[in-house]
Amino acid sequence: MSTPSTTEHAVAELLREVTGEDAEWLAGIGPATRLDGDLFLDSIEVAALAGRLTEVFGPGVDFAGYVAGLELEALLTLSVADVASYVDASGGGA
Amino acid sequence: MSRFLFVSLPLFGHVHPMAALADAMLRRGHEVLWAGSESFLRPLVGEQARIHQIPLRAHRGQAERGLDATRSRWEGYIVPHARTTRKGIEGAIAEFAPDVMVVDQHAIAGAIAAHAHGLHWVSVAPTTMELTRPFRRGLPRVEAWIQGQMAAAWTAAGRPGEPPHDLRFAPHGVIAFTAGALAGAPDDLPGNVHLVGPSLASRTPDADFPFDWLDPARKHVLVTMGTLSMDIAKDFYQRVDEALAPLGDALQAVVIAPDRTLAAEPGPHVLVRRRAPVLDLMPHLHAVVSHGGLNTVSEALVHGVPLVVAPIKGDQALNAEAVRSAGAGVRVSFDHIRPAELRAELLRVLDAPAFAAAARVEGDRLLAGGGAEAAAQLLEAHHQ
Repeated sequence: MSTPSTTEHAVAELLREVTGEDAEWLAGIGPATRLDGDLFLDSIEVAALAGRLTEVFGPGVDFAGYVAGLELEALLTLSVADVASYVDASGGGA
Repeated sequence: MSRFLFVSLPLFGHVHPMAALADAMLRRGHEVLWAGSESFLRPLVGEQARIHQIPLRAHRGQAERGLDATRSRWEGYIVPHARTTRKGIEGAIAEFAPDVMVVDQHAIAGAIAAHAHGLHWVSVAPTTMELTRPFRRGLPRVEAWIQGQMAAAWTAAGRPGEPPHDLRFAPHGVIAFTAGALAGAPDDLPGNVHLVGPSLASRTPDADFPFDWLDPARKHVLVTMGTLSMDIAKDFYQRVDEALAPLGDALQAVVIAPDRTLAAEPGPHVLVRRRAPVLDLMPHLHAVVSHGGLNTVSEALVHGVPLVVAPIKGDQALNAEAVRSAGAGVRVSFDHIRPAELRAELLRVLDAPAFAAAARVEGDRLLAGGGAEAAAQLLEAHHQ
């Protein structure tokens, strides 16, 4: 099992990948960074992230399904740490 | 002759197509009364229009981005607006005794009042935001939250129980000012929807615009991102500036932007204007870079101009996706696209004739809807 911070780091790197951003952008991302409120991830990028999470962490990771189950409040505050916790909890730790 | 009560919101893009519809109803000899703010409506609906005055109230500012914009649209605008206008709409009904109410999808106080009085009513979709209930598949809890907001407005209006159906969709019909790919997947549309296509704005000639600046030997691009707050706009326009900088041999660009959002000296092939006569420019254009507002997208497509769409909020992401899936342009990330990538996407849209061909096809589908005249015919048929 990985430590949460390892998964968080991997999630941040996948976020950089699906947004096409660079290392400088990546350096500004921490566990508390919110996908909606801080990164303005759009629906296409969320779908791309879901696809990459499954590729990297295995078929048990259904991020699109996870997001579909979230209330509006939780979606507004969904952070890098939350994504990493979900990945770890679904047995996908790298 | 019948009486039609129009209920919209004090938002330009919402009132504009309904004003064209109201004009068409008047020309057909019907009576029209607007329920809304005199000061906001008058310049849009004309001197002859009848308005039942409902004073404008200030509501909380709306968040500009992401799901936060969805939340504040409902919590901070649609629901408070319903609360403060319902009495006025009731007053308009008492004064006018309408045969049919014509209600913007977001003016839910109109829907509630129509129900309360047992009136025949029709919903109008001036944007694509609510037409397909876009959250229902990917984010069903957000759709449920919206339903909860409407139910709360229903209860606050003193109505018993739950709303009998979704207040955004009149049981008697929905008129949408869009068509084709922009209307979304046919399976996601309500069964009683009529897709009439856009009601294009009338031309506002701009004698100051230097049309002779346009060099016929080069291609022409318009960049128009709607009304943005300065801090959001500045970063994007600077990337646009960088993307366009090395393209002076190939193209000229008209950039509609507020002051101080682009470099002090953009290249000689870039013309920065605070406003521009968009409809008059369209026949000269080879591509439009836009935020994806429905008006801009519709205007580009009916002129066969392909688009690079960088959506910011609301229905813009839906419109961007429609443009992409129809092959009439590309969708890029407003926040994340880099200048080099933006330049490459723009050149791709300019160079591959398939984009313009698809834009013409979509434009024809939009025009085939018949616009405000077709909507007027439908409304008339509704009351016969």
